[in-house]
Amino acid sequence: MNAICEAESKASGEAGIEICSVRAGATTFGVPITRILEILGAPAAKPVPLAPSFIGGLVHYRGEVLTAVSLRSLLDLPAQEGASDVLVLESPAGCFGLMVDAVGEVMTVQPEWIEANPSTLDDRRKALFAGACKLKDGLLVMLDPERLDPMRLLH
Amino acid sequence: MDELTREFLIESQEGLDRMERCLTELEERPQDSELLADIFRSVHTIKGTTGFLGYTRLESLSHAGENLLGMLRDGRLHANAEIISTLLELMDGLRAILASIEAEGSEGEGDDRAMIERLIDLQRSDGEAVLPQTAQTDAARRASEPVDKALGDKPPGDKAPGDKAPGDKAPVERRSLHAVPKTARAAGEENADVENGAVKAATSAADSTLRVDVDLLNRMMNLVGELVLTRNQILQTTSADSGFAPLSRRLDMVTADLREAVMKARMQPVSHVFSKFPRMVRDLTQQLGKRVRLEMEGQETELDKSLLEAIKDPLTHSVRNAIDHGIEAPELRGGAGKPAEGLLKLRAYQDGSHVVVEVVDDGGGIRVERVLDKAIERKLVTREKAAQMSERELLQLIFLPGFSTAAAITNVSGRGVGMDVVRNNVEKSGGKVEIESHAGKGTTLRLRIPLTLAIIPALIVRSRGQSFALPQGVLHELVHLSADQTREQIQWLEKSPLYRLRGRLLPLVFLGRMLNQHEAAAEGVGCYIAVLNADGRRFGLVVDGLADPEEIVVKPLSPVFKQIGLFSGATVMGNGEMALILDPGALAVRASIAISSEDEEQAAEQSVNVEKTGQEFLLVEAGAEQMALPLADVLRIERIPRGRMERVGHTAVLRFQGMVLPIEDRSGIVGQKHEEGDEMTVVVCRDGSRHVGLAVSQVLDVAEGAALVEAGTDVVAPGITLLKERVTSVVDLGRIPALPSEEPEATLEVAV
Repeated sequence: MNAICEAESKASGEAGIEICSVRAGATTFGVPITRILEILGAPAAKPVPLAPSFIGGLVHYRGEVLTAVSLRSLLDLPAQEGASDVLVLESPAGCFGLMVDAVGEVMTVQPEWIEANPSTLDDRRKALFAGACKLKDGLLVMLDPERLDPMRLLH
Repeated sequence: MDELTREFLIESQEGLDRMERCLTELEERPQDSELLADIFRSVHTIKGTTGFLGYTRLESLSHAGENLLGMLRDGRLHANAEIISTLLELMDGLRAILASIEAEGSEGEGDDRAMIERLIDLQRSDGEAVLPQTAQTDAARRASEPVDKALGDKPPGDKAPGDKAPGDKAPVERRSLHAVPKTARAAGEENADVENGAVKAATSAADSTLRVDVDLLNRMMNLVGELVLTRNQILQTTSADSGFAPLSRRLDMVTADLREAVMKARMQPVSHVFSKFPRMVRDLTQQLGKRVRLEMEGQETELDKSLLEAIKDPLTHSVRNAIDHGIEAPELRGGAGKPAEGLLKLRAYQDGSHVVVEVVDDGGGIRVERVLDKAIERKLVTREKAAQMSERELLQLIFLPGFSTAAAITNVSGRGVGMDVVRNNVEKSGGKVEIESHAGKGTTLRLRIPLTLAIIPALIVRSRGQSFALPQGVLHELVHLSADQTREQIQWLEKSPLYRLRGRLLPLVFLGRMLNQHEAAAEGVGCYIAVLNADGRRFGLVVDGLADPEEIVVKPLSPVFKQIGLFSGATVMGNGEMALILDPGALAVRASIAISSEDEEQAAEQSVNVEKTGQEFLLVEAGAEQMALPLADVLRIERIPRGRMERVGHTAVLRFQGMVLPIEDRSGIVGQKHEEGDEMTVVVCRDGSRHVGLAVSQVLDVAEGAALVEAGTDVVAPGITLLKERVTSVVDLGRIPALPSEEPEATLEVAV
């Protein structure tokens, strides 16, 4: 662990994965920034009646209507009071939004810090999470936009 | 120059441009097989078409080039600088001939032998190492063949076996166009003449037009849509600041023009689709032993490119159907007293914001009994259910998947695909299919297609605090019910809510309930019933409130929402808020609203128009008095906060979208005491070209007025009408004073 911390302290100079940290509930998540097209600060989201529960709503994004997945609903957390931030993510099937409580910072992590999902996670989270990233001050759940694609979640 | 040659020139020049680009790239990446394939295709297409058009020089040159390129493509030769420069020279040679064709109509004089020799030599010189002997000689033989042909001036188009160019097919079809029925041909030629005229004016056919990627146009359309929204937002925010008004007005104008121009760029005449029918009809009639005359009307009608694509297949299906099932064999027609030659009419015209394409035949029509038998046989409907269906509903059965009435399954149609495909394709693009059939007389199939995919007029309705867009095409009328009226007038039959609309029961659908919106509706504010007719399903959609109608830009929804099935898209409104677009047909089906029979519909219509002769009036109450307003002059009814009412002198005025509207207030409603947030009703009417408002206490009804003759004369009394058995005064809008008015008091009294 110490080695890792040291590695982190000098990581800025080395090649690593740049990730953007986001928060939903008490957990911090990391999304590779290469997959983020844009971050929308508290956009007005429009709910869609009768939509699957994981849909957070529709967001107006550059002239298009973006479907936003709510990270909170995916984790069965109650909806957040007040506005949420939305990450515009790229997936093979097209763009979609990921609604999170708040966007944190951009940081560089090394691939070796990332471990597979712990076996104790429930199946649903195993399917959603792309591993755990060990930071010096805690853990970060890695997210893979492909796994969060609304069409994929539907099936 | 005929259209075919012109098209060939444009295509060839484009091909050569592409080839030039690719050749230069090839120098850097000589092994790139995709580049080679691309170049090969360009030359191949030219060769295929030239042979057919009889341009022998072009053909022999391109043939020699094609052989060399074929070897390069197959990897039997490697591209080197010499080959590439020779190919570039070949290209220049081809260009020169094309230019000569364009200028003089002929290939001109010239000797291509040296060029062809070089091309053949190149195939030998470099190829030896890689090339198997047989293939080489074979290629050489094939390469020299057309040269001999060209030199011997043999008829073109007589190509080596196995040398079929894909490009050959199109010209063949085109040529046979000239052997088709006269009317169609005349129309086609007329079209070609028009286009030729345009070409003469331009210096070069290829220079005057530009092929634009449809994706780019789509993107432009999208951006223009955004601009429209931004403009709307600007107009809303600047209405308060007078300095911005002229600027925003100009922005408004420019945006409108730009939108029109982009939409125009996407428009194509329906002749693009119609033009293939003459040949199809000819082939089908020969195949089926029928005689059919094809008439086409309105070919110049323009339609959005993507919509044109979308109706291509449905139309083809419909034409096939009409000839196969519709029009009878000549001997049968004779027996029925019709001319032996059947008539198939394709007609396109614009109707408001829609383009209607009709396929009309004078054949046997659709016999409803046969439709029913077949539907039962195919288990598409049960006998019990069918017994309750109206004739119109039965006719709709032909749109069900797996339905076909053809007595015999022919090559042409009758395999159980057809009308359902037609309907699906048309509905996918926001259109509608209507069918009308009279046994023994013929069938009319009507495809009603929106002019453009992108922008539709819609009414914004509100349900539990959310906005939804309701396409105006299906909207018939709006009924407002106050809180008391909601309680009293919405009646329940078991669990079905109903409303008596002019004495007829109208099934109601509560939007909030349908969408499972849990937020409680605001108490005591009443509701609106939007009376809709979605594909013959009449129902009232109950919503909490209404906002202004808007022209909305339709955005597709993610397929995630497909299973909901009630929304056809989403839109961003002028105020930046998003709204889901309701699909009225789907709402009706979800609520199990049946298709009303034609009789019912007529009855419903008639309850509105008792007699066509009488004029319709909007009955309003102002103060204690009831008055009538000619319905034709009523633009809209507005509920506005009383606080917005202002005064110029003694006249009440309303500022509205940057304009000022004089308000006629004969009963002093404007001046009444009111509290903050109170609303009042203003009927906005048209008087000639100006608009005027009328302050009223209440809008009562729409009714038919009957003329009253003054006693003792036979003169119809002006200014009054018999409305609902009461003599009612008609408001004379012309006497509402114009602004600014010098003496408003003088005119206020008389208007009755």
